[in-house]
This record gives sequence, structure tokens and C-alpha cells, in this order.
Amino acid sequence: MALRSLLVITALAALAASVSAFAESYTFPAPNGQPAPVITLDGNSTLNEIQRTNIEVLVRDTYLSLDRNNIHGALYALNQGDSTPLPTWLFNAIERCEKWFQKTEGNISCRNGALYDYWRDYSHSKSSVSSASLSTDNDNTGKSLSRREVRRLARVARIADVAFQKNNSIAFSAPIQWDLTTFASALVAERIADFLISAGVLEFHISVDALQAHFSANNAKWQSQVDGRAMGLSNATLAHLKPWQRPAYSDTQVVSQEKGVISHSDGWPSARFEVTALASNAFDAALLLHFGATKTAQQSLDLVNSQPSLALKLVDANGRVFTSDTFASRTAVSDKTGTASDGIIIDVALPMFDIADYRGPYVSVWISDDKSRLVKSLALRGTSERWLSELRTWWRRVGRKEAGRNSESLIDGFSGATKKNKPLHIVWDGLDDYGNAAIDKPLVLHVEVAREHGGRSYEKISFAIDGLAQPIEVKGGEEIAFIKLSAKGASQ
Amino acid sequence: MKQVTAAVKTALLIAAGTVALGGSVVAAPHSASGIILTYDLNKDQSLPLEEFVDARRARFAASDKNGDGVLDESEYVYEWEGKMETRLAEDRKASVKQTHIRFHAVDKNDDDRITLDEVEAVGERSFAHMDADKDGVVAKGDPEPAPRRASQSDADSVPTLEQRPMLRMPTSHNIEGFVTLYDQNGDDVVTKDEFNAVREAQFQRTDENSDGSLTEQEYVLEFEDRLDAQIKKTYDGQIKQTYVRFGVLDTDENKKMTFAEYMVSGFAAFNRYDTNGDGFLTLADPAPKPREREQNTTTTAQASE
Repeated sequence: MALRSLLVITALAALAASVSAFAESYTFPAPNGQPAPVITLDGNSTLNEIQRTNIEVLVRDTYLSLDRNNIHGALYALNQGDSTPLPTWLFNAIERCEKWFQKTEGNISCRNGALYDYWRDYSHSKSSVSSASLSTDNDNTGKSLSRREVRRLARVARIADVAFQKNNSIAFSAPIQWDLTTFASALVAERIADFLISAGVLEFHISVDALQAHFSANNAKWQSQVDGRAMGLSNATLAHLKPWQRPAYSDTQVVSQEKGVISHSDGWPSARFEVTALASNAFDAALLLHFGATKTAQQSLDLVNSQPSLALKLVDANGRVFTSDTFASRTAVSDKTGTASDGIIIDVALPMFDIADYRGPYVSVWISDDKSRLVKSLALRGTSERWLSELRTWWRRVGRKEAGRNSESLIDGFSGATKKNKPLHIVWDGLDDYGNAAIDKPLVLHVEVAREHGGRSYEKISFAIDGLAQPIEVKGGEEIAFIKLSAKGASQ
Repeated sequence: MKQVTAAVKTALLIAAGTVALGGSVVAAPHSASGIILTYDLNKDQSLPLEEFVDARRARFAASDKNGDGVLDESEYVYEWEGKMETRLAEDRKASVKQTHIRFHAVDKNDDDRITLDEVEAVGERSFAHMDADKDGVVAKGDPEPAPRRASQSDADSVPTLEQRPMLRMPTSHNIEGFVTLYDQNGDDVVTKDEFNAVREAQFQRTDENSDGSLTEQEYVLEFEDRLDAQIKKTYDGQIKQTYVRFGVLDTDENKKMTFAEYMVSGFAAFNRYDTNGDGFLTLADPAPKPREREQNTTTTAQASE
């Protein structure tokens, strides 16, 4: 095979932080207009011709195997019911996807080929109509989009049975058409990473589509720019997505007019959040990216905070930022630790009431400045506005205005279900609702709790981040057992 | 508010009577609130007749795509389609939001699952509530149940402008709706067994992985199926109605609606809700007498409640 890899030597002074100023960068071509990966090595390493050829073959093989319409591809054969064993990388990818599927009630899925076919056919018919509409033929309105039908397609694939066999083959029932198109570039990045590590490359950076994967055998940091912000990255993949202007469906021939990310659970495009996802590998980062764009902040953050390998940042259409507990520390540009950049930890314990009609209380935790202006919303349990208004202090200062918003209110995007008396453990990174540092002001922590058939308690605690060397602990009223405020570095 | 003499009021009512051609031609929203929200361009919550006419004129001009001074049928329907799509989308969003809240209301033990027991506990209460005469069945002709709670939490709160939802789900909160939803054998009587059987079947249908409990996602997706079916039905019905309305308003049947013809429906709506006849539509106008068959339903009523 002729070597078509583009060998580029680029000055990456602006990007490479703890590596030398000059680095080797290689771009590999991808078939059918798919995203082409770029590999950057530190100044001391190069890829030889055989390695470059191997990587080029691997990129091609990955994309073509995952192309459901390529009759020579592995996924095509699988979808036809062929029980030939799959290449191990592909078998593992589907198996990992299914693990996420189980964990997320089908909200991350590789089963939705039929759903994507529906969107493709619909988008094709729409685009042929718009080009034909000049002929003033009003009857030709194209295929109509049925929300019930896409939901049905997602559902039948979701409830179908799947069994993984020992010999790298998969048994599954008919409604499933495996489709990993959305995650193809992530699998390309992973396979390249595996190859480079096995070839003994000690430090490399792969960028493909919305993903940036970094590996360093000695944990050196890579400094990257995501949407104008500097982030440090070490042995992880960062993925970034803005769903608002992104076509819900696109391929080499057609681009849908509908915007967003097609939800795997109901088949409909969703554009709740701009997402930055961090994971220890590219595939997980790509899956998390998809999940974050389509679910509520509460759902995504619950999932991510229970998995140490993941971190997440969400930004809603109003610019309000939500981050998982470890996002700030794992993307920090420098390793310097100080109480300020580490943030603070807030623990709130709620009493249990031994009564028959006990319902989990509505809870709001927020930080304001010393003039009662909202700085950061930290937690909101309870979804009904009728009951949220019982959090009277919060409702007067924050909730009422949010409830009046036409779109993307804090209540829609951030509130979650009540959780009995489960304690709240909140890690605050010191950034305000819009991602700006708020650490050098005098601050007030507010905790308000209201319970159906019960009482209402409200506590506020003034603090300064620098003054938390000793944790502050406050016993609350009837509905709050205690509140503890500590600097992150100090308590761990 | 300016006082109007009884004579003037009567005269206005007579005038209204001559132009009111029945409910089907009232293109404007079917509530005073809705009309004020739609046409009160200066947003002072009061709609004088002059402002209403100006707003209708602007809307007429905007609908008149080819600018020939009259609306043809397709212009008239197209304009209404656009309005309708926006409103149905808003109603849908509100309704789905309410479904999430309802899930947590039914999930009494807060474990993020609804079990059949929890569904039956809610059913027990709603059957007892509907069975106002306590004879163990809910039948056509039974007395309507008392409203569960005042719709406004504060009795003395100021009435606010509210667009009534265009999207309304079949309700089980009145006798007729309840019997339609739960009567299995067509005898217009719902027994406790029939009621439980329908609700259990609905539970099984919703429980997509058949594990005996409903997740929030299962619960909401099932409701969305019915919601979208209702949206389609509402949309199709409205489109049909819009063609009919065009035909009725186009009194000279030349397939061209003039502004005067267009304003027949506008005046009918304005006069119907300007009940104190002062030429201003405000929330201070007492509500008009309901027309026959005016249904009082809500967007979020669900068969399972």
C-alpha cells in the first residue's frame, strides 16, 4: 500500500506544555469523509514507515468494519445474522456498550441501527423535497416525521435479548441492528492508542473529531484548549460537544434540518447541554458525551460521580455550568494544590422521621455572596414547582424567577427527585454558576429543607474559603441534622 | 373600570348576537385570557376593542403572503398551522414535565420505582373519590365528584392571564371521561373489577422489561405515546376545523376572505368575553355562560389517576 500519511512537523508551542516546543504530528486519511485522526508525539519520538502504514491500515479497518452498509464489513455480517466470530476489538466494544446500556436503562445504546435508518430515510426525503419544491408541487411533502415511530424503534431495540458467546460471537433478536457510527472515531483513537503503547511509544496525543486522547508513561500533562479554556490532561480522553447547531442526523449525502443529539431512549433529538466529558479511555468519553447531551444534569452527574474514572462538565443554553465532583481537579492546568483551587466540601445530613407517611424532603443548597446574590446552585432535590415553592427562602431569591423562564430553567435542567433522607455530599470547585472563580469573596452557604407533612428548616453559614482550615460544623433545625463545611485538601 | 348602562350593554349584546355564528367560527382563543395574551400588543393586560382590531389587522396582513389584500384558503390555514404547532409544542413540554412530577407523587416510598401496589393505592383513592354516591360502582348519570382541591392555593390571589392548553388528554376526572376510559363491557357502568383490570393492563403495558415495577423512564415514555397520539388527533381535528371555519366566514363564497369577513369571528369572540360590555377585554370581565358541551379537562389528566 502506498503510504499516503501526511507527515507534518508543526510548531505546537501553544499547545504542548511540559514537552519540548517542537513535536512530530501525523495525519492519517480516513475513508468516506470520516474524521481523520492526528497523532502528535513529543519531540524525541518519531513513527517509522512501517508503524505509519500499520496505523493507516488500522484506521481504515476500523471505519470500514463499523460501516453497516459495507457488505464486506464485520458489522454488516453481524447484522445479517452471521455468527462468524467478530474481531476482538469490535466484540469488546459492543460488550462494553452493552454494559453502559444496562447501567443507563438503554440511554446509551449501540442497538439503534433501525432508528438511524429511519432518520436517514426521513432526512433524505426532506432534502429531495426541498430541492424539488421550486417546481411548486405542493403535494410532495416528503416523509413525515413520527415521534411515536422513533420511540417505538428505540423501544423494540431496547427490550430485545442479547447474549454474548465465548467465541467472540453475539446472539441477539431481530429488532437490533448494531450501530456504532457515533462512536467510530473513539474506537479509532483507542485502537491507535493500543498500537502505540504496544510499540513502546511513551507519550502521545491523538485528536480525532471531537476527541482528544492523551497518554504519558510518566504522567506528564498535556495542555489543551477546549472552547477557549485551557485544560490539563493526563492519561485520559477529553470529548467536547455543542449540540445546538449540530444536525441530529448526517452522513455523506444528507444533513438533517433537526438539531441536537438523537436520544437513544426515545429516538428524538435533544440539546440540553454543551458537554465536556472526561474518561480514562476514548470510547467511554464518547459514550458519556452522548449521555450528557441528552439527559438532565442530575442524571448525568449522579452517574459520573459514582464512577471514579469519569468526569463531566455541562453548560446549559443560558451559560450555567454544572460539573462533576472531580472535573476541576482532573482538568487543572497545573498540579499546584491549595485550598482555593481544590474547592470545598459540603456535607448535609438529614434526620429520619419514623412516621408512616414519610416522604423525602425537598432540599436546596446554594451559595450567595454577602449581599444575597446567587453565586452557585449546588443541589436541588424535588421537581414539583408546587413543593419547591415551600422552600420559601430559596423560592423568593431564586426559584420564582427560574420557574418563570420559558426555556432551560434551573428547575428543568438541574432539579432531581427527592431521595429520602440520603445525606448530601457536595464538592464545590469554587466556580460560580457561569464558571467564573468566586473564591475571593465573602460567601454565604444556604441550606433549606422542607418536608411534606413535616416542617421547614433553613440555615445560613458565612464563610471564607481561606478560613476553612478548621471545618465549620453547624447543627441545624428540625429538618437538618447537621451541616459540615470543609476545605477539600484539609479533609482528605 | 368605566360603568356602562344597562341599555348600552343590552345593545352591545344584541350586536354581538347578530355576528356570533356559533362556536365553530370563533377563530380567536376560547378564553378571555387567551385573547388578551394573543392580541394585547402593549402587554398592559387590558384589551380595548381598537387595539384588538389593530392586532387582528396586523395578523391578517402577516397571513396574506402574496399581499393581494385578501386571504385565500391556503394562506388562512397555513397561518393557523404555524400557531398551532408552536402551542402544541409548548403544551407537550409542560405535559411531559408534569408526568415526571406525577411519577414521584405516585412513588410513595421514594425508591424511584412504581410498583403495582403503589398504583393500586392511588387507584383506590380515585375510585372512592369518583364514586360520590358510594354504591360501589361509577356509572353514567352518577353525581359528579366534588373538586379535590381549590385550583388556586390562595383564594385571594389576583387572577393571572393564562393561555388554555390546546392539547388536552382524555380525562378521568369527570363521570363521562371515567366511564369512557374504564367501562369494558359497554354497559356504561364501571365496577371495581373493571377499573382494576384496566389499570393493571396499563401497568403491564408500561412495564417494558416486565420486572414488575415501573421506572421513571418507562412511565414517561408510555405517557408520551398517548400524548403524541392525542397531539396528532388534535392537530388533524384543528386543521379540518380551520377549513370549515374558512368556508363559514367566507360568506360570499368566493374563496377569498376579506378583512371584514375575517373580523366576523374576531368580533364574535371579543363580544362573547367582554361580558360587562365596556369595550375592554380584561380579567375583570365575568366569565360568560358556558356553551353546551364545553369540556373542562386538563392537559395532564391520565387514565391511571
